[in-house]
Amino acid sequence: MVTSITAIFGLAAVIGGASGDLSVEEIVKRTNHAAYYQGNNGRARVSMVITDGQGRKRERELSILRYDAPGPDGEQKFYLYFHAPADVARMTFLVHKHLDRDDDRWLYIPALDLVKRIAATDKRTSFVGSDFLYEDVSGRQLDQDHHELLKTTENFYLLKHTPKDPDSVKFAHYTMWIHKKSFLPTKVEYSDASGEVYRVMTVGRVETIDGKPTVLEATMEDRRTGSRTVLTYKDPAYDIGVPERVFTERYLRRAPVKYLK
Amino acid sequence: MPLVSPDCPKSFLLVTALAAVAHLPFQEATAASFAENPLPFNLEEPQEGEPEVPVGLQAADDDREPGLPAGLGPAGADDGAGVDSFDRSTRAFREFGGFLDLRSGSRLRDDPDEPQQSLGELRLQLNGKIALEWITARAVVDVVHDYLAEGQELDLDTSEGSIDLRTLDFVVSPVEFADLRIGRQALTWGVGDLLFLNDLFPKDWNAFFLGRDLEYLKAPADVARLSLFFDDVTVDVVYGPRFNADRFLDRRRLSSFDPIAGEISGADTPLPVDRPDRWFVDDELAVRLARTVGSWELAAYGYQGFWKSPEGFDPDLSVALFPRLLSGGVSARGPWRKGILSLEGASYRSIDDPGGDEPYLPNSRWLFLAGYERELTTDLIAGIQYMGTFIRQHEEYLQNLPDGTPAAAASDHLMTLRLSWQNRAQMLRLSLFSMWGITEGDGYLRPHVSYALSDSWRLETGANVLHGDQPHSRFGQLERNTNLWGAVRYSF
Repeated sequence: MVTSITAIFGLAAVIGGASGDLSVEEIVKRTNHAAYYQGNNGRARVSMVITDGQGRKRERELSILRYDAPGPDGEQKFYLYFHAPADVARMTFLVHKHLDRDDDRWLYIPALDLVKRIAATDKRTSFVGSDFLYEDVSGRQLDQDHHELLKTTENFYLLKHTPKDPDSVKFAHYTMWIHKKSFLPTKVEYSDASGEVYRVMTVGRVETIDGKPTVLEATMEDRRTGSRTVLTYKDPAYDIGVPERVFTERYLRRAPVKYLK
Repeated sequence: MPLVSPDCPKSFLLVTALAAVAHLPFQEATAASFAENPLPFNLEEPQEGEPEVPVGLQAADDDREPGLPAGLGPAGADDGAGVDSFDRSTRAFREFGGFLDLRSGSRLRDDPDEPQQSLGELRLQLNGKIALEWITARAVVDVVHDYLAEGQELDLDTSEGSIDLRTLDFVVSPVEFADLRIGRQALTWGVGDLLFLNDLFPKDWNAFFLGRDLEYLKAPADVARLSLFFDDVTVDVVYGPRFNADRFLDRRRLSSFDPIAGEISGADTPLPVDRPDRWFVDDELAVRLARTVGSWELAAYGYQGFWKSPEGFDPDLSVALFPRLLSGGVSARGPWRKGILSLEGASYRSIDDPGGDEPYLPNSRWLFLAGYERELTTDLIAGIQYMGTFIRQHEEYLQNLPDGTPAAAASDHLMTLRLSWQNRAQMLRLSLFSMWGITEGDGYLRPHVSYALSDSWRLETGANVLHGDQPHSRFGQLERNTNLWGAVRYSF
């Protein structure tokens, strides 16, 4: 399910969507759309500041392009260009996200001119060393969890999600505060088997871009390690006309400046 | 503020902006600014439509209920102000950087032919890239002080001397579906992990076995690369007007087997070579056709040029030769059972030894590779590969082999195993790459530890452990070069 991050960029929402009593499935579906599928394609520049338990700071900066396959929310393609830190600058990363099988992922290392296929399939590994997981960024499959509406408040739906296969993940369940109008998840809390919340995502800032409420700042906090990552989206744009062909080996080797700019 | 919804009170926009500037959670900003807001709350007439959200909206009825993030005010949004304030000029497609790298290594075994110290160098790399829509230009240059190779004359082909020009190229698109990249560049294709079949671009085996960063395994080539992107297939044509040889094992830095002396020798008797170096005569052509079917990448390759390391020998002149080579092959790579399966095959035709009976030239051969890599558990990845090499005219080869020369087997089998792990923060990375020569009974271990102290500082250590009972086998001949190295790098 959608946890945080706005997708690797994306978060926007159906304005004025909150009407009447929605089923849990409908809320989950709309949230997934708001978090990961706004616009048919888009761009953003992402900054991450990772502060570990000892207060040491690390930074990541990357540009992201997104392309959605036509039709209902499903297959997506992502292109990432790293600007910082220096030892990964100019590397590029390509993801073909699938719903029915593992994603295809490639990393391009310019110094070697090497297109490396990523074998890792565990989506619950750190995204570029931050507190966000790959799954937070690319989206968790909706059918991997049981969804339950705990309550509805003035501004929020509170949903609880319990994994169908508990052994596949470290959390016992997670809850999501979903803003009723925008369907943006603004706070996500992961609990372990003892019920203790050990991982929390909070949205700090939202702006409307092209009529789509979009998360511009989100924080992921790991309460066990004391580490936190603040993720900021700069200059997001939707429907900029990125063609599907950008998400191929050609542009791994040569950055698509026209669309990144 | 063109995107302000009609039902959005302006005061909320101010609050939102304040919260954004002050980096305060919206809740606190709301409380503070409502108390101190110089503008009366009712400055603006409430708009038609939705009722104004009361000040007490954020009073949570569950103490874990979050406040509304800045921007998710009652109308669900502000106007996106601030987005345009992002400085487009920092959208760095003019990028400059580099690193300073101090690296030292020592042999762990006695080698009468080489100094104890295997590596000792301070390297400054400067790189720059300018990308416009119609052209991208790159330059990467290393300024090196190599304590073990002082006083060498500058040679940009072999990286001797204090300058190693790694990249100097540009890429343009003469037509929409083509990229033309011209200049000095690293090139890689094929699907092996440190095993190269159809990738006949130059390698630097000295850098590899001495413990330089892996990026130096790829020696730069001076070529023009034309890539044509058709709907179903990509065609790459790489033309090098002058042969780009490996930075091969010439015994100056790493001792190895000397077939003439019949024993291992080193720096005192460097390998004399006759390298083809005539422009537009001793040229190279490499071609690849690639297409993707679902998640599978399929490719076919061709190469016309020379054996990349001096595999031949001229007994009259006592120099090593780079005989002519024609090769073709195919590869496939894709997902299989939660991992990545790689398959590759190649046929090498030794043009100067068509009958396989030239004793001093390499025989034609087939090469096959199968590899599989998958995640064992979170952050731990294992990869296994098999490579088989089959000499085509082994009988002719044996019949013509000079007395006393160790004979290569008709078929050679090699296995590799890689384990790599990183910690959750990806600051500590461990990897162990091992090769086992089944036929020759030798092996190679390549452990590597990298620890990032920060985004800028990184410590690394590693080893190249080579062993084999036969002084002429692939790794056995390098046994005395077994070394341990360490490095500290500052990136900027």
